Amino acid sequence: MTKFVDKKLVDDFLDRLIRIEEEPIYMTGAQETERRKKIYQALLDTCEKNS
Amino acid sequence: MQLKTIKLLNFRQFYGNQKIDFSTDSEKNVTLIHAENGVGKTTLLNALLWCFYKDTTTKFELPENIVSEQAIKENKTNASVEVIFLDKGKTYSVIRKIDQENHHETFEAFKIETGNYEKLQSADVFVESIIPREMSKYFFFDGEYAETFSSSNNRRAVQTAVESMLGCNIALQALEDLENIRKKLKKEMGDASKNDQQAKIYQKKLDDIDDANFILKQDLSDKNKKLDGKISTKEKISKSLRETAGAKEIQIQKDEYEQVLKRLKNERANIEIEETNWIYNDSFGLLSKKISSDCSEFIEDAKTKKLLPGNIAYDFINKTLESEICICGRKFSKNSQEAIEISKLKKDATTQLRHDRFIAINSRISRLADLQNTSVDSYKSIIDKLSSQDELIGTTELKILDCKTKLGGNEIRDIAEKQNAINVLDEEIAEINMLIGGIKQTITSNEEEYSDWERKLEKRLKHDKNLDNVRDMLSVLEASKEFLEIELSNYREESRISIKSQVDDILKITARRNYHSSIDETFNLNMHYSDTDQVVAKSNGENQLLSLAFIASLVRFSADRRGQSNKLLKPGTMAPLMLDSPFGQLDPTYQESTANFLPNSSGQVILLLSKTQGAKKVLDALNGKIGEECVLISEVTAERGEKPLDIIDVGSEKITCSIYEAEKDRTIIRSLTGR
Repeated sequence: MTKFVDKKLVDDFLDRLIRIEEEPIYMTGAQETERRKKIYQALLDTCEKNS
Repeated sequence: MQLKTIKLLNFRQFYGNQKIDFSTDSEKNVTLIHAENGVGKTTLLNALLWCFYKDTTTKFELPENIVSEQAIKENKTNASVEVIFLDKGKTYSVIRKIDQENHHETFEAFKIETGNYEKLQSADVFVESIIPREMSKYFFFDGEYAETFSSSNNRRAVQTAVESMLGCNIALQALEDLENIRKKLKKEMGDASKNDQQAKIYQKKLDDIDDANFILKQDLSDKNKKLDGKISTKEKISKSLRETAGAKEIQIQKDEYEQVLKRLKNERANIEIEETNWIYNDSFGLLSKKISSDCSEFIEDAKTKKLLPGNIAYDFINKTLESEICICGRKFSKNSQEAIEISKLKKDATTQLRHDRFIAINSRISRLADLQNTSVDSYKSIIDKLSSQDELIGTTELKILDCKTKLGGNEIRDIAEKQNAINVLDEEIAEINMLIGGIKQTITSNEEEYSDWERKLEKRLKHDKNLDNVRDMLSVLEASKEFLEIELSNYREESRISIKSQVDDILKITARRNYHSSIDETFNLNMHYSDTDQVVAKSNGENQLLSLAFIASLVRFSADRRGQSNKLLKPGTMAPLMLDSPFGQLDPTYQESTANFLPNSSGQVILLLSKTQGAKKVLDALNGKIGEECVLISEVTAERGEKPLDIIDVGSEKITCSIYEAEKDRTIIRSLTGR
């Protein structure tokens, strides 16, 4: 890691990320773009919560 | 997870309701399914895959035709497969049904408690939680393609297998998503500083590299698909070549049998001569039994009465009369009383010729009596010889017929053609691999260049307060990405070492020489001589042995990982190992040693074997481990003609696997358990 990043923040984001990745595509019908939108939002939420 | 029962209804050749019970005994954990080619071994494997995932192997031709031909003839369009299995002490059932005519399909899962079926929500998710789809192909495995794992140019297959069993897919997908979002954030940064000309230039460079890499990655994906296609074609031709090469061996065997048949027929002709000689020389002994016995009686009677062979010789009496001197020395005259008395003796006297004849007849009759005792035995011996010779001739003729059937359409002249096709494919594979290497290098170099431009852009924009939020997001994203990469790399390394160690353990007890394996960082699977560490130029059999050892190690590795999951990795799975024709390329010694280690590779092992695969040594090695056993029998409505009977030896029993002139065309399952 090149920069110091709060570990709690990373853990929080990883939790959200894995939950999104675990959702079976054939169950939700989510496409790749939709999944990435969710991850982007999760990242944004994590950072906003911290600020 | 353990399979308990599979129930089939009109699934391909399994017309009607059929079922197989699998062994769930922890000691006798092997279920043995015997079947000849085309009867339904591969169909059974695919029935499981179809039921669980609506998936089939590449070997399963026309996968859209699920309903049995016989059922269709009878206007039945429904088929189904139900699998009942145990998991963590509970019994479940999953059932997939299809109505081919109405294109209607259902898939349901149930928990079975005290005979009641309780429907579960979302059967797909449930099955996925028991054996994830990507892991399934290593549990339900087509053994005939096993050697492809360890053949050259197939690193991707090994890598995919390890990553599937490691449950890396979530982490890999997350990494790909994060990289995509990272680029999006970088672009946001570039777009946010539209007034900065220099930043715009940097962003343009980044966009160009992105576009170039997008095209390159598409090209890479195409090339990989092409490579997979070539490898698959090569495997198919290699298989066909092996069959053709096998045909050559069968041809040689057939020639040998024909030579044996010729010799046996010559020997039979000699026995026939022996029989003729017996008729000439010995048969009258039997035929004249009555006459010789009467003669013997007559002679004995005559001898008793001193009528035979006659007491005074006829010639001697004549000489006495001519000499007119009695044997006592007294003289007598021709017409004297003495001469008359001596002349009377002629009545009972015999000539030398008659005496000799009597001796000869007596001796002949004695010989006839002896012949009566020996000729029966000698005739029996000739008949026995003829009978065993006929049996040998019959067996050899059957073997020749079997060879002719096996030869089928395999033309020996195709060998060179097929070998040439393989050589051409090898060159094409090498060329595609070279192109893939080139593309990967360009992508890597582009990515390095991309990082440089990114750093420049970042430096340029680092004082832009408007971008602080994006920078924060990027920091968290990059830290998460780095964490995932390190975790994945550690797990890959751990799994590589663990699988290698298990493969080595298996090679130690199975391989003829001392070998050890290697799986390098690029997942190149190889076998080495233990003493010199040189890479072994593997035969087909050794390739298959190494691949089977690899599959067994993966399955064991997955079982060891049960409960060891973390956020990134799917938990390991304990599942049955079902192997279709696992002994194809192995010689009898390797077959035996593989049969020894397979039962220990999983809690439940299901082996689908043909006659050649289930050779005596294999069955002996599995003895004591078989909990359930069944045979698939083909019933056909056609006449037998010259087709072989397909008899398999199961223990002391011989079972006919092809029944002709049957009522229906179908495969039936006959359980051999408890026979």
